[in-house]
Amino acid sequence: MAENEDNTEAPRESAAETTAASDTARPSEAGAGRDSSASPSRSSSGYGGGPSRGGRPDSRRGGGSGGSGGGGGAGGRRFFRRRKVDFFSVNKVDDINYKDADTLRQFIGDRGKILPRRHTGLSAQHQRLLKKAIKRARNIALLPFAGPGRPSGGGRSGLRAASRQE
Amino acid sequence: MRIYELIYILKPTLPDEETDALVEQFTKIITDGGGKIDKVDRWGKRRLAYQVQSQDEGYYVLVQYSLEKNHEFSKEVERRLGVSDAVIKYMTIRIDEDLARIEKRKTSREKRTANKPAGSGGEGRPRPRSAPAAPGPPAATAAPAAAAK
Repeated sequence: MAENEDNTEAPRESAAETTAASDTARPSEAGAGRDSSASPSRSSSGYGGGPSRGGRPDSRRGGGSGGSGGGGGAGGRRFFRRRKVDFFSVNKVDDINYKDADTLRQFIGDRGKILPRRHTGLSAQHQRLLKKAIKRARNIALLPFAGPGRPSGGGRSGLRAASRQE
Repeated sequence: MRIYELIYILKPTLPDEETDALVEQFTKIITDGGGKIDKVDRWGKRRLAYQVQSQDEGYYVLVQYSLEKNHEFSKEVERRLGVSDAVIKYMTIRIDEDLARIEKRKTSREKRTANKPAGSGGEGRPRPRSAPAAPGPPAATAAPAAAAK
């Protein structure tokens, strides 16, 4: 029964958010999640998909009951389930600033790419702010456009700098 | 009133006096155009994330200024920065709305935490799930089980 409830909490960010903090205004989603889990029709549909679900419940439960959906619903099967909580909500950061390269650095991969939400565990709003901040930081050479392995990284920025300064 | 944040990078190879002179010069350009300098923050030399004009380091300067009327002036400031050989990168952004947003988040966060310890009934959203993981699923499953019955 537990697994059914977990799996039907499909919008994972709502579940993650309720555990992480009450800051983000998601009370409606949290409430909806609870209510739907109580409805009997849910459990039957869960049994219908029993076998496929059976493969994942341990990982789901391991992800924590509160953060059930936060395990990475769609793509994140194996790794990166650890990021269940929104870093900025937990640390009560009000401003996601492009100047804060050290903080932003944890959200880019080794190739310099911005990590997707299923890896970062951020809320949609924070992910958008993060994206903007990272792109700004890249423009001002606080963060790289591309990590090691792509020697053309310097060339790209040169082009940008030239077009900026007309 | 619009508040701008300008960040520019000077060549690191310049002697200190020249760097200071340039910073003064750009500050003056802004004030001459009617801008009010809120702060000038020199970060000094920093490693760049990628090479710019074959340099690995740069001297960062952050300036926050505000304009009351002549709003196209920030374009003029950028033009001057672009003309200068010593400036290898610059970026101006408008931050008055960002600041307002941050203030709002801060105050609403403070208000929320002030209300919390009082345990006012209105705040009681369905939050018992945020309790430790173990009691979570059993408590939650007890509800649907009871409802199903």
